Amino acid sequence: MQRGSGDAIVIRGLTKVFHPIELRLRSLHPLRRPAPITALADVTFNVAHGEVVGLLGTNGAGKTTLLKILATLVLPNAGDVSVHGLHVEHDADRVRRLVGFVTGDERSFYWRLTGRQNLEFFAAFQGLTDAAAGARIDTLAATLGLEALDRRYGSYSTGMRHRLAIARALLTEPPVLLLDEPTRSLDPLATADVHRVIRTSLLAERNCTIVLATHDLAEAKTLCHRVAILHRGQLVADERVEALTAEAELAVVFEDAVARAALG
Amino acid sequence: MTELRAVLAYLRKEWRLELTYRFSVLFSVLGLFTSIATYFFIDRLFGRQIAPELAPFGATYFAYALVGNAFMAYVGTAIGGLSGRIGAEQSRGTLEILLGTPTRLGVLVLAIAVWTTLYATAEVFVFFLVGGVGFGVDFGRVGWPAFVSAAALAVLLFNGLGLLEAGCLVLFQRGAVAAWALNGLAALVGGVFFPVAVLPGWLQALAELNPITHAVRALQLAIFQGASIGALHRELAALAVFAALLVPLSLGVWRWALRRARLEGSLGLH
Repeated sequence: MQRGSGDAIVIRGLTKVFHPIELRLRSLHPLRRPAPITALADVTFNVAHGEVVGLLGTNGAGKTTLLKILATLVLPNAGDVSVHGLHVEHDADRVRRLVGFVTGDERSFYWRLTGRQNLEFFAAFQGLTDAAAGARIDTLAATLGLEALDRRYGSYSTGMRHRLAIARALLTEPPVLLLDEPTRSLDPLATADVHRVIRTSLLAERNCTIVLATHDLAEAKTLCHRVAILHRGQLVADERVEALTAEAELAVVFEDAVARAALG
Repeated sequence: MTELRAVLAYLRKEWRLELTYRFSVLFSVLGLFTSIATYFFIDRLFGRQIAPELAPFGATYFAYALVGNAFMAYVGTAIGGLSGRIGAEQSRGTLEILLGTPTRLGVLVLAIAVWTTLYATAEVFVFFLVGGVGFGVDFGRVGWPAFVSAAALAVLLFNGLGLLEAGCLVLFQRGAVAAWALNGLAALVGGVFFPVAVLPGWLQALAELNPITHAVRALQLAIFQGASIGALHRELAALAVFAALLVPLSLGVWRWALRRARLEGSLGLH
């Protein structure tokens, strides 16, 4: 895993507080006013070119919110976030050309269309011509082992769906990939398969910069150079994986960080 | 060019999805046929007379209701259809993915509007085909320039209203109920299923503030009286004013709603 010089992603003082509209409508009654939800609080860290950073944290820690801000899908309340020097809010259109977002959400495809038809559709919205999209889809099918592209998406196994989500994110060969729990609900064999794809297709062959959100400590250790641990929206630890000698140590770092944060 | 490609890709995707439902077209035509037949027999019940309120249009009640129903296909697909399809993309999780691409959101909205308009046009064609060939309605006097002008303004106007409703959907995850209520109200006081002249005086005055009233009147007169653009200048001007007011308002609300949704992180919620 070779890494380039400089930072691909710079995050400074990132804060995100949600005031959901539904909550606000209910909150007209002064005694029933719910507290806003702080998803991220003053988070600061960088990701170098070609680096793989794992975002670890429990449910609701702010991992997905951070990825969605990087993907320009959610706007921050405060702080500066840039990808390859481009501001995610002010240069959103250009950032979108640099970033591929892989969601663990299986819903995000058209279930009655084939995998190929899905990829063709998203490729057009990525700005690819039909010819370029066709060639790229064939390449990705070979690289990622998408052997059933002409079957309906609804008939795919969970592992195949995850690989198709990775293929969609790679249609334009973006230099930065955001992976949101790419092995969620996969069995061990399918997980190993997705790990192989990430290691070979994304890291060895393309030297992508990757931010990977996961609950799985072993996965973080297998794939990442560094782990950033989020707890209730705060960055409570930022450790290099090379410094850790065993998975158990990583688990200790994680649990310690969470316990420290809980103690305040 | 990139934008055109995205629009064409959306149309192709919708067409492919439509083809996966093998009997949908058949059932749609069957539904239209039963709807038209209902009005045909109601008309027969009352002796196929041209009531005084229908005299200005020179049409039987059946012919009038046929055009009103066909027009409601446009209104329904524009208002409920646009927000419904955006809601469907939202609930599938595909809206969020599409908003993460470099293609501007306006292109997606345009693509949806083009699809719903084409779909509604196909429905209108079937209405007129079944009404003309199957039930003998005379469409021989259509004033095409006025008809096309009124239809174009109506499509623009009601897609604008659809966008306004889609903004509400993105913000509140509710839209279909508003569309249903709006469509029902529009049908009642818009002269869709009966001329406005049968309404009480105060409702007739209210109906003049309803863009549907002007659209329906213009279309009925263009189809059955062969009215020219000049003869319909009052109705067409009213539609143009409504469009000039409502379309920019709808675009503004839509942009604001989308920014709010990005702030709330609710793009993927439905």
